Amino acid sequence: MEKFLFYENSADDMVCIPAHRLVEMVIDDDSDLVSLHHRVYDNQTHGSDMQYAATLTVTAGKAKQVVETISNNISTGKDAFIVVADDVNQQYIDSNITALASLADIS
Amino acid sequence: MDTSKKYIYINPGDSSIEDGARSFPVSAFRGAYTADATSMIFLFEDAAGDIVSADVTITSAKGKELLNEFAEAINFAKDSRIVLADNQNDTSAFSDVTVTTAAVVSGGTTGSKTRRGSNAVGTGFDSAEYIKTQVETVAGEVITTVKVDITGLVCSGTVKDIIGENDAAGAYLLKLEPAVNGVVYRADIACIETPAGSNCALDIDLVSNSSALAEDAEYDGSGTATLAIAPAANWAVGDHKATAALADLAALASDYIYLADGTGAASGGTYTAGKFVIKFYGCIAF
Repeated sequence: MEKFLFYENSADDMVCIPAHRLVEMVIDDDSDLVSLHHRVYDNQTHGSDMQYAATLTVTAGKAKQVVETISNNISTGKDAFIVVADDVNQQYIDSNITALASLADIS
Repeated sequence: MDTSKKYIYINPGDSSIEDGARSFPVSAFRGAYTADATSMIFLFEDAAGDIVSADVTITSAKGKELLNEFAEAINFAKDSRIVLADNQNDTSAFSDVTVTTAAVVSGGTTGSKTRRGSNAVGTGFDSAEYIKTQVETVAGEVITTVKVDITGLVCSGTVKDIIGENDAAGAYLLKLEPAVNGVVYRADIACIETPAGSNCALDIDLVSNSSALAEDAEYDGSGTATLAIAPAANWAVGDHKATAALADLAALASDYIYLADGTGAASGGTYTAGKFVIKFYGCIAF
């Protein structure tokens, strides 16, 4: 199954990326932020930047659980369309995610 | 059906044409994002490794629903061809795609590309006949290549004035970024097609400024400017010029890059030809 990760800040600010493009999940020092890095294009792809990052605000101390939930959904989940964080509808892949802290444009 | 055997079809042509229609395998899909509430950009990697964007008009605020359907179609649709947008036939596999508005397909090997994010072309230069920026790293050297066709752009006729869209702000080819293009230590420019245009300067300089300037502005009238390459002669196909040895190009690393009139001998006009390849060589700080 081809799976896709979805992030939404607002009705005019959302992104969808193939899950296999997720290359790293980073937990910050306070364990209250998880940054998901996606290699949208290869480094050598012409005319393109390489990475795209979405940062999730999570309950302090629960970042590892969030990472595990995301991993499980990608590896064994049944849904092709995985809503990681949707601020508009307050829909999150894990109940310990409280918000989408940042969602940069693909660049 | 195996998703590797599915293709996404986009036909921006209206009436009865299929010219410019593109089909991409699902594996070439790189992502999608909203430009605004009624515009969804789909990104695909083409055969040459370039990124093609398809700007599809959608029902306002229905982006999530569309993307969900898109994911479902890739995995579960029975057809091998998934019609994302077909303006010729006003059809789409997705109810939230506004089929009566043609998708705008740009980039890739069949057209010029406006680079997004870092190194984006200025809005006062992006109507050039062709402009495409590539960044590649070879053995640690970052090579930024800009291919540009200045056809359609305006020359004021005044020496040092920036070439671009008539009086438009941001008439730059790109803005170099140290984190992307490195510390630039060399640049060169080659003429691929002799520039032409009634009353246009054919002696064109490669310059930079710390600020985003408009067409018709003197490149060194404000901010910090660098004259990188000045041929002091009309360009002709096959010509090649490079920055001088030991030239101080430090400012280029984070400057806006422009083409400027190298002579005031012409009275001003619109270019009808002129293709150049510009290269910047640098190294990311280590």
